[in-house]
Amino acid sequence: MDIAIKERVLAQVRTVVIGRDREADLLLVAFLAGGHVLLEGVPGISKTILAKSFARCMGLDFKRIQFTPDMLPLDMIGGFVFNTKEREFEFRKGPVFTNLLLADEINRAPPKVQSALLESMQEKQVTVEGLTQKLPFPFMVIATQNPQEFQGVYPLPENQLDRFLIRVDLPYPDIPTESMIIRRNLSDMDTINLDPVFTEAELREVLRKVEEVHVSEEVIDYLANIAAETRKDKRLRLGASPRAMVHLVHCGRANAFLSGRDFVTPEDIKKMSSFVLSHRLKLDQSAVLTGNVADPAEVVRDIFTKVRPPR
Amino acid sequence: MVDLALAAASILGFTALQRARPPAMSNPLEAFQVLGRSIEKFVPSLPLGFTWGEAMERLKQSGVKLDWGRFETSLNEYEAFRYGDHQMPKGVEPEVVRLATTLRRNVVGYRNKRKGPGSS
Repeated sequence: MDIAIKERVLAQVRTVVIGRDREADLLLVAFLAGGHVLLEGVPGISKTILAKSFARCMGLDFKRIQFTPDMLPLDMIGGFVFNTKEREFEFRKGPVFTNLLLADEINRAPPKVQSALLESMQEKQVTVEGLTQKLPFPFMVIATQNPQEFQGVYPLPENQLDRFLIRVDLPYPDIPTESMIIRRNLSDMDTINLDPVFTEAELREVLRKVEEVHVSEEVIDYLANIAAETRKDKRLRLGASPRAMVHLVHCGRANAFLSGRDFVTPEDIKKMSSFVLSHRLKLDQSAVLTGNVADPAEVVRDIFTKVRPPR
Repeated sequence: MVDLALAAASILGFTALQRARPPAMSNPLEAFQVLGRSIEKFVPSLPLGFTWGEAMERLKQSGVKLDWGRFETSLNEYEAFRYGDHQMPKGVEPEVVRLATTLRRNVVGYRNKRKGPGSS
């Protein structure tokens, strides 16, 4: 176990992005857990630079797609074009063929594009006209959306939100951090200065080690109890899916690894719970209207206070 | 009459001491199980779903005097055994027993205080 990995990555990201340690840490957890991230926040709060810096310091190939309402699935996954020299159709890969894809403003894309992206996230491959192409390994999507936008957007439905391993809310920075950001940007900062923390071989080794992190039977039962509680809770219309719980245990593993352990504790599960679960739970409207609850994260926290972990 | 009062006081004192003493702990598993139950019972401000880390944080904040470094090492070894399939650590760390005892004694003191003069 290498407790220094987290520090190495955070130190690199910090040289470009100020005040986003928590978010960078979560990106690292999601990456090690083999999942995708949904970043939510208003424009201009360093979502793109964070994703770009993260990709660079992980030594990953990075591409960005700015989603718009007139996009087609082929703009993202690629398609067949006619090669006049060879006189045949050949597959031209779209921007999805990368290690880290920044899907900017995913809720601006029409449902067909969203669905194509989410399918590639799930399958880690794309199929165009019967030809299946594997996406590069590792493959991670960091999608962003602005929760304040209501015009010209296509909100992600529940089944698509469920594909995201974690959702991270990016708040505005506090005043001292904002001052630092302004000062730093007077001299042009660029991610070009970032050095990769890993070689490709090291990265594969790290991912292999994360998969070896032990999850005890009791921790699995604990997760099952949590899932059952989310489905019983009157404040929720939709509880956690089995996929959500699988995602939670993967995040627990990654968090344990980054903490220098080869086993998952209930603490790892609890720490990751609101990032993994809150975007998948749907509040019951009557509970919202009666003021019983305002945020699914609140319900998650509440459930974790009620369920006894194995000790 | 005085003899009877003295005998009653001795019995009460003995019972209180017995209550304050945690059950025997022959290995780390038992020790941490007893400690977990003690925390559940005697630190009511902690919710049922507390983790070891949260309990430790709360107890540190409330000023419980302990060699927290030794306790933490012992907890890490216990967690490795409990959740990680590692070997059970040898011997019970005295700080774990001390914490369980401290928790029980504090509660006895708290109950006595509530029953003392001025309380309703």
